[in-house]
Amino acid sequence: MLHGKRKITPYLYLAPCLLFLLFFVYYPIVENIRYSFFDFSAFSPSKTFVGLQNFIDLLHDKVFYIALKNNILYAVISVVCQVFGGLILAAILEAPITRLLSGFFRTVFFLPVVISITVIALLFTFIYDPQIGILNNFLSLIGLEDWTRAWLGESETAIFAVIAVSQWQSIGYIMMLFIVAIQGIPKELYEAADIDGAGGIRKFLNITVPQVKEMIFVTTLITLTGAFTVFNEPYILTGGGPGNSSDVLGTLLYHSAFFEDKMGYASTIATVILILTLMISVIQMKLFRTGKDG
Amino acid sequence: MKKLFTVFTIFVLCMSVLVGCSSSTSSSGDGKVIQLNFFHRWPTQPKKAFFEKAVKEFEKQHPNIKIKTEAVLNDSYKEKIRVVLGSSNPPDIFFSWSGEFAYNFARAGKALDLTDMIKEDKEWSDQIIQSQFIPFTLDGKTYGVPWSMDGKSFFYNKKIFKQLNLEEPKTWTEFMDDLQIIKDANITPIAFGSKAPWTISHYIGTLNQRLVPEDVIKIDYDPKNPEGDFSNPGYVEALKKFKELEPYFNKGVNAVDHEYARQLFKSGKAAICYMQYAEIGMVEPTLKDDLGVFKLPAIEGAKGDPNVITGAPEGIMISSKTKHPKEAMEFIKFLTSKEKGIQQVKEVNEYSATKGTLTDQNSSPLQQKAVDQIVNANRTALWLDTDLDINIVDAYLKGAQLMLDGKRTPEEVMKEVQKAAKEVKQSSAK
Amino acid sequence: MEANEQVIKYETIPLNRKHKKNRKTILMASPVYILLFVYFIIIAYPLFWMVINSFKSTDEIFGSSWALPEKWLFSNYIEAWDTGISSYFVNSLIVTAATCLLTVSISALGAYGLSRFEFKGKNLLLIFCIGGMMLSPQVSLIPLYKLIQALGIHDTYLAMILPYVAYRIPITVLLIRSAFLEVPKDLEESAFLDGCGTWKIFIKIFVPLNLPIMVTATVLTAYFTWNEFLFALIFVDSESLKTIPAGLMQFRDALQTNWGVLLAGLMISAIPIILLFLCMQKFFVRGLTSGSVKG
Repeated sequence: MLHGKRKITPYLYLAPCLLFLLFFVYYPIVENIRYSFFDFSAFSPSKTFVGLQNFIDLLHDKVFYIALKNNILYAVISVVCQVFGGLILAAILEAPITRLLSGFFRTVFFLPVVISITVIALLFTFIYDPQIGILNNFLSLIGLEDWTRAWLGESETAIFAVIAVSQWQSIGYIMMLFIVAIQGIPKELYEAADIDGAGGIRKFLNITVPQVKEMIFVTTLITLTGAFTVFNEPYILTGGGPGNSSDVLGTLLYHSAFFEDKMGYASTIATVILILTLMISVIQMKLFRTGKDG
Repeated sequence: MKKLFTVFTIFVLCMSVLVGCSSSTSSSGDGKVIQLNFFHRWPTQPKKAFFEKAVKEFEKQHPNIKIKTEAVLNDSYKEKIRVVLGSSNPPDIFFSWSGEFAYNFARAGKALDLTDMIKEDKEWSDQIIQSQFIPFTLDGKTYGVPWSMDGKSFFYNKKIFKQLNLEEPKTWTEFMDDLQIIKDANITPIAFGSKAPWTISHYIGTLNQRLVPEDVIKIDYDPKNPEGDFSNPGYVEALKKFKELEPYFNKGVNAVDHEYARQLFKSGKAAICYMQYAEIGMVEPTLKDDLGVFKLPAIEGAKGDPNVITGAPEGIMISSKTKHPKEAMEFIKFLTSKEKGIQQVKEVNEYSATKGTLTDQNSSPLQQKAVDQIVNANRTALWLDTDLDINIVDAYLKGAQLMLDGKRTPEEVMKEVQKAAKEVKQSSAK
Repeated sequence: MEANEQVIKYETIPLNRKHKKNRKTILMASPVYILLFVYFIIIAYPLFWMVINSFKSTDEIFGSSWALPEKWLFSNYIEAWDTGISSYFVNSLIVTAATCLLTVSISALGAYGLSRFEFKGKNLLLIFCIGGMMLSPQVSLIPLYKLIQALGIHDTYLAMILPYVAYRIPITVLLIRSAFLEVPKDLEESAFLDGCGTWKIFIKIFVPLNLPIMVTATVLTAYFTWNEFLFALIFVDSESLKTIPAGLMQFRDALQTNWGVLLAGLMISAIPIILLFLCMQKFFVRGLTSGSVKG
């Protein structure tokens, strides 16, 4: 237990953070929650108080449920690919056998993260192209021609195609975070395990995973909140189409605000996203018992 | 180390505040100079240079007026204009699409009523094609000045047509036959991309005009008129006709956007493409004499108007909060003058709404033919997505995308449209 | 006792068994290598696509997007630099540098407070910090715009820097905190016993030990700030202050985009971040923190 000279020391350390957050994040959040009880357009000076009507409308909106389902799909797939996949990749790159090339691989795998979404959207439009795209060409090559289709243009596959793009871009990001975490694990732990004759997988499960518990908490949090607030990829790749099949809460919000001019309704959707992600974070904090020695 | 760090941080902060401040003090100006803020949606060349030049010319002619220009792109423009118009210092002069987009501003009192200023200066305002004022006029008051006009027709590759012995189709049946012949020859008949669904709205808008009587459309499209309920069978017909075209589109239309479709057409891989006249300048340099145009063919037995061209002007509006309405109007008059109009066609390929701006020097015969169609049409129908309340548009577009994917029938889509229309009209009656 | 037996066993393993073990290791490693290789292709091939297409004209990109360029249009890069990047480069640099500095330093302080102290409301404040990750930026546009005008920083660098810092604090605090939590308590205790105050412990122990995570946080913040365009467009009007994303917009339009030049511009724009990442690689050396307990 570390005690500061005065009881207020921790608060002092937190003060700059809190100030910034209060002004630039929480003021908009509060305003946003307030807006969700009104009906107004960005143009009109007046706001009409509608109480909970926006929320009721949202619950009756069938597109809301499609979007929510898509966000949940996003969340599940992202956690599996990014957290699970990222951790495994990081462990592989930090293992002795791949030490030589790990710097090179690390950089290449991280590159998608720094590429802007505009480029990635164009790129994947070409990859998924029904006629000249490499995905369909590759499938035909290996004899799976029945599987070729217009990935972004069919309502069954659109959202999955979009989710795949996000994974492509973000696995490297999460992988980097795990690499940093793994590097903090004392070598001695692994050496002891080697002496005991433990194999790669045993070492991974018994040493690596528990030691990076805090990072697993962080990356899962990042991935889950990301999955519920996602906007760029679906908007640029499919615009939420065909129909509403690849809409997510983020695109729904954008459409309400900037196309339908229903700012109040948009705020309602944002409030719902806020509540969902908050709940998830609190549950996670409890599950991981973060900050306490595991 | 820590000290250096802190010093550096403070330095960077100070510098940013200083530099930031200095650029905004220049806008407070000195005494007599009037500052106008001009906001448009073309940060791209060549329009960016065109407007920069125009501003410089205007400032030279009016030494007491300084114009600060800002340009952001399409989508960002839609976002920013909503944010800044609601603020305390909106731009004085700004661009706007016509129809619903402009009406939004007018209804909210954000746009200045220009009717009187237009009436006062007949010499200038008579030069502008009067029909183009209509989509900026609400309840008898005009809120915007048209700067460019546009229309949409089927453009086709003359070489392919000649190869297959085809002629410009005059009726829908001829059109369908032609499409089949092209398809049999293993060429993609029509290039189309519906990822961004506004392309669907252009087709449906014209088809509606062809198949539904004009007076019915007027009542149905009016968001305040509860009698119009989109029950006319012509609407379902329109969707059916659109669906008839589907086998002749390139594969997977919902996955690609309009630019992709145009590229397909431009490279000769598709025979026909439904495009705006503004796009002629993008395609003609490649296809040259092989580029031809024909109107959406008349449909046999159709109850609507076979002569309507779909198209809409874009124009300039003035903020109702402006402190210098007269000077702002001066700038608009300058931009819509005949000389600027001629330059406009030549330099940026936008057809000016001012008369007599299309000459042999600045345009091709094809462009002149196209603009003639606009000027001589009985009337121009607006793009569907600016002509209707957005909720109805949504029902149409989302439904049509699913229809193209085989998930909805035309009747089902129309049901959703009718439902949306009912809701809109009910809420506006309140 | 057991350990000794094991050690002896190891030393007496005959040579040929050692060889077998090596072969076995390599065999077991091959699925790993295959996985790496496959993933490498999945990542690298599209990246390769981006590079070759940045040298093509728009028509060629649509016409033959997977082939090598017929003509290598280096002019794309020149045009991208001249119109889209050069005037905006300095602005991006200033905004990004300031944001990174502020974000990482403020977050480190906050992370320290959250990880090494026990106090009332700790979990609540943690949630408070994390909460920043849950706000969709589009809905904050109008309130933030009003706030920025009220503060008088509209159309200045601060209009971008301050919101960026605020929005990056949550994730940065989380990251740094997770690293701080792994620092062994004995270190603090011994320093404390030596009479060091919390500030000294922070500066002399926590910061140096966790450079990798702080460096990673810097790179991530840099990447976000460098590419951010929603706030950059809405809160700043003057051309002289706009950042690169605004500049690159000049190659896009609703009807037509100059994709070749745009790709070239985005490649150029990605270079500083990649360079930053490469420079920081030296911090990603294993063993930076091990051995510190003994020392």
